[in-house]
Amino acid sequence: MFNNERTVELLMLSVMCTMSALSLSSRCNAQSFQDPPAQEAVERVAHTTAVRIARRNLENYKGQNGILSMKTLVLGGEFRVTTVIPFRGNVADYNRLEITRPVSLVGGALNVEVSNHQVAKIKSQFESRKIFESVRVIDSYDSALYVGKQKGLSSEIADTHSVQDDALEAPILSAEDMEARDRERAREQQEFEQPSPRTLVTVIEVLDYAKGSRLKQALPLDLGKSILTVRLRYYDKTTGQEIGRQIISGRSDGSSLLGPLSPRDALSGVADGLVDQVTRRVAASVR
Amino acid sequence: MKRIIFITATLILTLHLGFAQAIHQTRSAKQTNRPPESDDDTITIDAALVNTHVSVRDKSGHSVSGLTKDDFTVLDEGKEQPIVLFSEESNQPLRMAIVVDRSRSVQKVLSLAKTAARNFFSSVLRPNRDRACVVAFDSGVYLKQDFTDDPNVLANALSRVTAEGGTSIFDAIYKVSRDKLSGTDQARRIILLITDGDDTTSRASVEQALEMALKNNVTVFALRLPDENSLNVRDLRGKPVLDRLTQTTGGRQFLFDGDESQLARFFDALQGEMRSQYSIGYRFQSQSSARSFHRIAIRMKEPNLKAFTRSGYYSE
Repeated sequence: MFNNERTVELLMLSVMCTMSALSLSSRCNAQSFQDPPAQEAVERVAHTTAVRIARRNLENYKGQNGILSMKTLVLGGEFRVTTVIPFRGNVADYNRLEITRPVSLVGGALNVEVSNHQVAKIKSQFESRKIFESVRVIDSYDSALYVGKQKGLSSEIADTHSVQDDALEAPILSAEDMEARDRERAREQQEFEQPSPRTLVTVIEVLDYAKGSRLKQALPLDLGKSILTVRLRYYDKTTGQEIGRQIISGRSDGSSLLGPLSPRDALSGVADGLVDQVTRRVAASVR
Repeated sequence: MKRIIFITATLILTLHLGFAQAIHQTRSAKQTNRPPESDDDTITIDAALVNTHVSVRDKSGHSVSGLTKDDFTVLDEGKEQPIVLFSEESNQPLRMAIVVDRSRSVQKVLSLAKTAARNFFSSVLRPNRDRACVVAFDSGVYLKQDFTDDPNVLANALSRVTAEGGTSIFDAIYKVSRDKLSGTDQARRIILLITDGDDTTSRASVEQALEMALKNNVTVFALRLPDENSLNVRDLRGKPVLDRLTQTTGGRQFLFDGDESQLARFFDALQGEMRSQYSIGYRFQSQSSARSFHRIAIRMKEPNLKAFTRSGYYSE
């Protein structure tokens, strides 16, 4: 009946998801509607499964053409991507995404409203694709705070106890202190060895922005272009290591079929470009 | 009238200058007569009793017992000193700290050596007279078992030390000498250090550890085990450090690279060494109040024998 292996896998995943959700809800039974943690657990399982399914669906994902696509020809909002540092590592390992609010490097041309609008647009697009378990907007990310943290972690584990206890002036510790310290070390080691969710951080810096004018776009004088150019830096949140860098430039000049009436602008182009680029990397890693 | 005023003013000025000079001369005289206050110039003569423990070995490395004070020559800062106290060490009470590295290689050996350790404690510790404690160290220093003369308790404590990371040898020597082996009694103070010899996390330097050990007349014996991560069984990384710790304090280093029976032989050798030690006392007249380090050298009149003792002491 099912000759397609992928279809079978998807069906099995769906069944597992439904079963686990039913199992959790039956355990909670009477309390389930009033017990928020149980409800949350069910939702979490369902969401994780949905992400897995969405990622499996990416196997045949074909990246968007930022200029010559039906969408851009009809609605406008084209984008171009320049890769400065190609992505390193397996992007599919990241199951969480954090996006910083755009930092303007062009002064006050990009105001807070536009910035919030842009980041909300990107967030909603990622959420609708369901390729990350969570998508968060953060104010900023300083990689310098994280660089070397992971590297030194194992040695820190060996010596995380109070420095004062081992100071030369301090007395000899007791056997109970030794046992307590051993327990603490074992706990930290266990935490370290457990796979923790990995987070991809996308830092957005605005290099160029022009709001544009629909009215001027209506005139056949090549005026009123909407332009947005951003530099995107991708980081592994835990290590602070930069895993890729791109520049995406979006524009809308009223030359599409809908012309100035199109709802799309440069911001839409950049959002599409960013989501497309990350999705491509995830898809490539899934494959 | 003008002349009278001029002469009066001249007289007053002359008198004033003469008076000021007289006061200055008086002060100078007082200062010259005052005795010097500086500590540097003080010469105090203090005849302090210096006590040191001595091991004597023959050319083949065996401990030699049954010697008398006439067999020894004591030099303090190169000057020969008459021996005023001499005794076989076995008469003196023993305070011993077994200081155990928590590294994996050490624990692996000690877990097999419970019987040998118990036999050692049984034969060395005299009930109600000698006492030993067990201290474990990694990056910290822990008292695993406080002083007792019960060999079973000590052997159990030794075999229950679990392996962990970090190696603070110098901290362990420093803290054990300070906290467990300090005192003014005439007891023999011994640290038996069991380690793979590579200090990685100490706060104290080797000099600080040695100073604390020498101040408390502690002798360090070391059993060095090969590091299990080393490809070379006779890894020499820890040897120079342990050589310094043991030789400076008058102790000895043993290398272990065999099985349980070799460990038993080590305990036998150590026991022999401790039983055949001598205690030598002399009065040294120090001509300085300053705290300083004095070098001790002990020579044997018999050329085939060699004496081992601490390298010196700190005068108080």
